[in-house]
Amino acid sequence: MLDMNQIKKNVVRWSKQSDREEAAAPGGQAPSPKQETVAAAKSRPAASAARPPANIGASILFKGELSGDEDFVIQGRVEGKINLSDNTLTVGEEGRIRADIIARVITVEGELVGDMYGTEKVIIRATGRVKGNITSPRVTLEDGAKFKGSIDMDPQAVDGAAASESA
Amino acid sequence: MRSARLSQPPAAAEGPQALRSVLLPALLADLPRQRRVSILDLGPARQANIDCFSAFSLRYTCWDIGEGLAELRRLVLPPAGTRLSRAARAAREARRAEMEAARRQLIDDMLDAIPTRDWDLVLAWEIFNYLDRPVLSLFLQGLVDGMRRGGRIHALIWGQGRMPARMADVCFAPGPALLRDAPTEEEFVEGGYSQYQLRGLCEGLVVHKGVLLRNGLQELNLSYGGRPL
Repeated sequence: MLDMNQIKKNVVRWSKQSDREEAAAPGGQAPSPKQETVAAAKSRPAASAARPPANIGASILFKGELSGDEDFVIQGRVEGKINLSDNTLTVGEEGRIRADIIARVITVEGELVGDMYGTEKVIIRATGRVKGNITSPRVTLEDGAKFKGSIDMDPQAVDGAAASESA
Repeated sequence: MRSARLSQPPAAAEGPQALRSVLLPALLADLPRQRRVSILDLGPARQANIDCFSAFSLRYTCWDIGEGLAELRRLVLPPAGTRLSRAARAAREARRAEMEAARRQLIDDMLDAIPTRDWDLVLAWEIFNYLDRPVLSLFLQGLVDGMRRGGRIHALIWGQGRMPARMADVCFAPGPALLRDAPTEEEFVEGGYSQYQLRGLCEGLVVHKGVLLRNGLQELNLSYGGRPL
């Protein structure tokens, strides 16, 4: 047998709870689980962009494989392999790198010997000195920059090279 | 290249000089579309050149050989004295052979270091003038070893008995043209190669087309092997 008083109490409680959720959600609508995931994913790069890039100082020598999920500035020496496929890497003016690099955007202001796979672009600044091959859809070379190597800007080659390198 | 200075150097040009290229448009149009082509640029890397080739599906290799050329030019025997003893002549001959071997080794090292092979097109702008004929012959032989048969060399060569003392930077410009960036007070010396002098320097390499540009530079399309690109 249904207790009408209990039903009325439940309706009032659910109604208040629903009001609180609507107030918490932007636009006055409760987020679906899928929307929540997308929102979280979108907020991650924003948080990463807001975060200052990690730094390897001029006195540091690193040997091995360097990988991570944040932007990097290298002023020291790195020998080995660098994998920052979703992030940017800047080789500062004092940076001395002997490594193959995968990153979204690679900027070289210092010295690099190795191959670069820039899924978005590669920039060699006027002070940059690079010996190695570049695979990237966009390559910028400032006046005064030194570069010796081959450039592959074919999109299929870029995708293939990045996939095989990160495997 | 002879080192004697010209008594009256030509008038200095102001700023980079644009040269209308006659041969490049056809050369670029002839590049195969059915496969990825390989281009070797022997000059310094320039954004303008990268931009020009980014429209094609190709591999573009920048390999500035300026330093290697300077080293090659240092491997030269000093001028012979008027009278040499037999021992001095023998020593000089031995040194000549040593120099020759060193030059050959340097050329091999220079070309072996280039990370690509099977070039369809080689860009050699104002480079060949800075190699003496025997060295140029060695260099061209090494170069064609890395070329695809039917490949081309696009060269700019001074050919009127005079050439700049220092190599100038040349890069692509819209037009298509070539932009020659030389010092405003450019110094000229005796030298240069005519098309005739280039014959027989390298087996299989022939001057396919040649055009004399207005400033005395020759634009040459050298072809290696009989088959087209």
